[in-house]
Amino acid sequence: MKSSPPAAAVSAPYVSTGHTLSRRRFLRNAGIALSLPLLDSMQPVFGGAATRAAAMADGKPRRMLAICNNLGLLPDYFFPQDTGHGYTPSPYLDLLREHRDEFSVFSGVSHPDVDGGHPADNCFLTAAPHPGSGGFRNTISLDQYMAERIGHQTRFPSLNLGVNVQQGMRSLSWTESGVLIPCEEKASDVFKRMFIQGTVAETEHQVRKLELGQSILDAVGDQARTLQRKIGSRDRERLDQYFTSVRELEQRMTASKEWERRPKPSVTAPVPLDPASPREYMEKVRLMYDLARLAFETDSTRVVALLLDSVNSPAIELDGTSVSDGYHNLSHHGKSEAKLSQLKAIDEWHMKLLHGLFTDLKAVREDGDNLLDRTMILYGSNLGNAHAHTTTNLPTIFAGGGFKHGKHLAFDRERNYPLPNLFVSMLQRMGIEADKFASSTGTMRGLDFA
Amino acid sequence: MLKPVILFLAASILARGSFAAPAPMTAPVPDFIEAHCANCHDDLTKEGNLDLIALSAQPNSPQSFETWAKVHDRVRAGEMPPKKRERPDSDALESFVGTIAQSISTSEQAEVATRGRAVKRRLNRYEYENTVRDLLSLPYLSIKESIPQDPTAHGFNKIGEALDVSHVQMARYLRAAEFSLREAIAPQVARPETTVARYHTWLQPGFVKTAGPDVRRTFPIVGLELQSDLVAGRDPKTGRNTRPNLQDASQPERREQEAVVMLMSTYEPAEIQFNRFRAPVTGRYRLRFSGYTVWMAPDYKSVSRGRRTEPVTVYSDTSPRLLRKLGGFDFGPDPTTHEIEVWLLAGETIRPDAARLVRSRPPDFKNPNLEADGMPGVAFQWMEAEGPLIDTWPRAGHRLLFGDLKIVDPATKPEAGDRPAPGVRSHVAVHSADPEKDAERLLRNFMTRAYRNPVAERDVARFLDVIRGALKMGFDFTDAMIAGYTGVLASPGFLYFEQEVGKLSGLALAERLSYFLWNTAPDAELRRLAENGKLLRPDVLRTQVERLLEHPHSRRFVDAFLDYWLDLRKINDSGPDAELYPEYQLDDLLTESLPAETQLYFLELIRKNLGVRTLVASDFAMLNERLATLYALPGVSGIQIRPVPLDPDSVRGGLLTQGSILKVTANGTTTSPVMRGVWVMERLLGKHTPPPPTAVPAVESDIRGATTIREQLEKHRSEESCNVCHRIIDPAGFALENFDVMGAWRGHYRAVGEGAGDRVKGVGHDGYVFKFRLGPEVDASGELPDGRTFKDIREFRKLLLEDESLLARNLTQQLIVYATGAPIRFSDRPQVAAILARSRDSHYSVRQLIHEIVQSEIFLNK
Repeated sequence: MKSSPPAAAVSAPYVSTGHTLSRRRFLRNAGIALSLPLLDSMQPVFGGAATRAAAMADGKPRRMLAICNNLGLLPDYFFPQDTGHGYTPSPYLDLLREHRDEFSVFSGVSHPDVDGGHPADNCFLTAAPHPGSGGFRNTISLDQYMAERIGHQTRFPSLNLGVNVQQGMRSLSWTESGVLIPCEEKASDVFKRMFIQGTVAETEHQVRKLELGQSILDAVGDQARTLQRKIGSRDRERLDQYFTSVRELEQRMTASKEWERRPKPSVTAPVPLDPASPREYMEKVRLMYDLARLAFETDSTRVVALLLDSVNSPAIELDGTSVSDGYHNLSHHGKSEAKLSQLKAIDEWHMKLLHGLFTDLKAVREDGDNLLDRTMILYGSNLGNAHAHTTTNLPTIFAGGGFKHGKHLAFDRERNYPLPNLFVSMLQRMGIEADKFASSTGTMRGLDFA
Repeated sequence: MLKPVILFLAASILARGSFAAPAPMTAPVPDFIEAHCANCHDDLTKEGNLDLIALSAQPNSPQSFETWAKVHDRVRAGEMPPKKRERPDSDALESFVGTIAQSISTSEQAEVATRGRAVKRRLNRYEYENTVRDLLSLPYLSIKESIPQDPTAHGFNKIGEALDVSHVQMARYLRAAEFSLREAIAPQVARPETTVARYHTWLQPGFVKTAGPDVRRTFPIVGLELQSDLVAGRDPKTGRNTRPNLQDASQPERREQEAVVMLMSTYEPAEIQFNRFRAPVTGRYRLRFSGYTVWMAPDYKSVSRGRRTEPVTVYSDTSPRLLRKLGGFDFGPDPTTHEIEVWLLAGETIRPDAARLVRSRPPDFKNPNLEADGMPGVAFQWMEAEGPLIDTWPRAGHRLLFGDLKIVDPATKPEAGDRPAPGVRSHVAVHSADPEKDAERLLRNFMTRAYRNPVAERDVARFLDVIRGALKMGFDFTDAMIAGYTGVLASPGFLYFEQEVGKLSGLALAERLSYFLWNTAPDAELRRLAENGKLLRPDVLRTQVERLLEHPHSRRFVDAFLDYWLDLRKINDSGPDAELYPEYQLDDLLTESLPAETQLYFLELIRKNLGVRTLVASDFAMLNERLATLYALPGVSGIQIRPVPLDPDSVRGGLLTQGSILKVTANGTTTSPVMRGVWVMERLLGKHTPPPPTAVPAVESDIRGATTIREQLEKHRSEESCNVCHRIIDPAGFALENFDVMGAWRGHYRAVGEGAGDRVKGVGHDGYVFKFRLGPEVDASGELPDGRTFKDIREFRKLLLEDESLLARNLTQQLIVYATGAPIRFSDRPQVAAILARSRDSHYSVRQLIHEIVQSEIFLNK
């Protein structure tokens, strides 16, 4: 007999430090595809030296893009046969060969006890066990965990994007109490939120809410101060901690307020044109990749989650191949040659788009680095083999972000290595103090900081 | 050569007054150390990592206290100096032990006198949720999960030193507070109408399942007549399954005989729902379910009368599959109706589940319930929903916040599943003709109820300022008040316990007592007795303890206490390995029953005033059919957990053989006598083992079946330095080797290796065919450090029962830590002993121990 706080029921969260994207709106303005904007130095604008230092362990801003394709990839063409640095690229990985030194491939990894087939996509970034079982409640996702800690450093704490997502049912992004955060489907909407000024009324409304939050914090902080006077030293330390946390939250609200008033970055790219049909799946994916890159490049956010809801996609349009059946139906190929060859063509497109994303990120410089070096990209799936609905042996690529790459890290395919360990490594690379995430048992074995 | 150093250092510690207050620990200590300890425990040898010289040099830290207490205990117990060394004469020993004891006690008492035993602490998230629920009269509210998990110390989430606060925590408290306040406000002006409506399964699109193989389909029947033409079949043209239209086929005159048969437990992709029903508003509802069990022919072409009862569980469901368990009952071969009274959230629908049936996963699965002549199924007829059941409108929580002020409906409501735009609210707006006056009156009233101590004028002013400021910024009266209330619910005055050093005031005592036995703020009666001072009278206190224990809220104590004492909160931390334990896969009824068994068992100990030996052995167990099946105990049917008598030679009885305990002490794949041994020593006997040396790799079980964990451990135990601890911790673990990762009895281990023993035939709850083999035989015998031996769990339990005071002391200490939020100190020992002495005649009944703890100085003082 419980109710958890659904996002929709909280109408005016004065105290939220997040500035969420507004409701999805339909905009059908004409426009052309995104092109590389010219933004030389969008330095992080807020944060005292201390917060900055904490968020950047080695002084460099780090980003994360986590992508889940919920039908995965055909394992036979994905996993390399041999391991280590000298691995022979599999047919799929061969399409990424130009970037061989900038990514690692994992085999024998999965989220412990995340079973249940399709519903497991909701746990891709949470690793909460047994989705689909009675009483299941999701837990905080990696992107939201990051946003809570470093989100105040950018205008948007995080972006949650999706392609063909079955809304209300699926998302990679979840709050601490297991509430689904809906995916943004329209690249044009996100683009406008990032780069086009809001109205004065919108800004003022947001600022007022933050100011009210600050006034609440003033009141409770002041009460702590008063109480402190009449108690002993050991007890005083406890209230001191309370007071400090109030002050830290207040600083974050100040940061949020500054973001509201600060002009948005301008880009030369026009508003993207949203593909009208879900059949234009690959074009949608490409737009989202462009959008994520733009967001990182302008330091609008450092955390992006992207769900490619292949399960909910129809027969998709593919250059050079005619696809006869819905994506989900294809995945239950039953070893049919015709279906397998179509799936393979789809998978290869995924690899080509990923190749494009890596290339584009590498072309952007930030200080002495290229943007890929500062962006951790996780590409994977909740299914190891969509045909059999298995949630083990997940195909996983991990690129960029300041790690030593170029390896095939092979783990036991019978008894998988916990993938949440990668999340801990990612958090630490972000400069976030964390030694555990969900069912992790440590940091990712064999994966070192560059 | 060592002598002068030791004498100097030892004397200097003791002379420096060291432990907070001067406590002369004179001649006997340094002399004794020199004569009997220094050979091994000096700065060079540091045997057992103990350097008495260094210890003597820095006696002031809490760690030093603990170490001295250990030195005291080992010497007093005769474990040190070691047997092979010369025995100190008894006078020297007495004097050594006595001096240390007195010295630690004096220092600790001085510290307690100036600071108190307990450190100021905040509410943990269990307490916060309960307190807000009770304050706002929202019994269904769930905000615990939205607050970060609380750190623990000394085994519990109630310890001041550990209950930190960060900015993340602060933000979450604020969010949870605001969310709860808005939940309490009336969603609409008009009192919702209470209606009764029946939802027949044939009229629910959510009961038509057509995908995949037969077992996953739903089968419409009338009485026991299968409606073959309405079963999904394959369309030869499209190759897909057809979707029958039950709604059009339904006939009013036979509607009561129409039912839909499920052959599988509700699971993707056959998730049935009464989806024509959606709770119109959040509130209390009565739900009635009608149905019966059937038997389906192996060709799926005919249905006959059911052969047994089937458990049915009921969940509420909101997208995306947010499930809350509401209750459960049994259907039998004849149609029956079952009623449950529940809280539903606006928009929720109802999902029943024939929980014993298979949960099939593709691609190749079999039905474990299939017999030569068919398989069991459950026929669902209808659900009747009556509600919302409303006492007053607006409800109590709303009236606490806004009294009788006029309310108007919100202009627009948020769309379901979407983020609300600015200004869109899910509740009414409140109008005040005199905002300034109303704000102060309402706020003062709210704070008096929310704060557990008298409200300072200064604090009213503080939050009134927030409200005034909000009004000035342009927020309306409703939002301005919520801002003020949010502040109150996140303020130190609400979040933190208030206890002054020394004897607790009436209010502080009421607070401690209430958070002990109800895990929430004191109710009106406790507050009244606290305010008029009567609660401080032992007889009144005793009556109140009885009242609190008799009240249903005492379940909150049991659940919260066991979550930490026995780790029940970790029940789902690891899942059973799919290959080794297919019969436990996706079995929600089992995983729900396991912790409930232990919670109800502990409740039964309190209710029946049973002695502490019941923790280890009992002539009954709390069982339902699922648990009895796990334990291979025949003759228990049905879903309700109730006391069931056990045979005198049963391996069950007591906590140790309950599935929940055996599961939290194992991982999903294997069991380790070391892990279980440490757990039993710590949790049941209160003996702490030092952590293993980091250089030694853990023994990893071999699931290929080549060697047993015992054989691997034997090698380990042959090293004397390992055996020092392992001879103490392993025996309890060995005694539990006959129990698998879920608590079922096993004569053999299971293995997956080719070389292992015979294959076992069977099909898992998830439909997978068993692939595991039998491994080596289990040996559950062992020898206690004192030489007593046992051959299995039955004999081991008898040995444990030989000294029930050990069990009583541990439980007492666990309860004290939980109740006072502070660890047991050396200087608490005499009081613990006194509590035990006064409880001996009751055979240390749990209830009596609780009474004695509450009446003790430890509990009555900060």
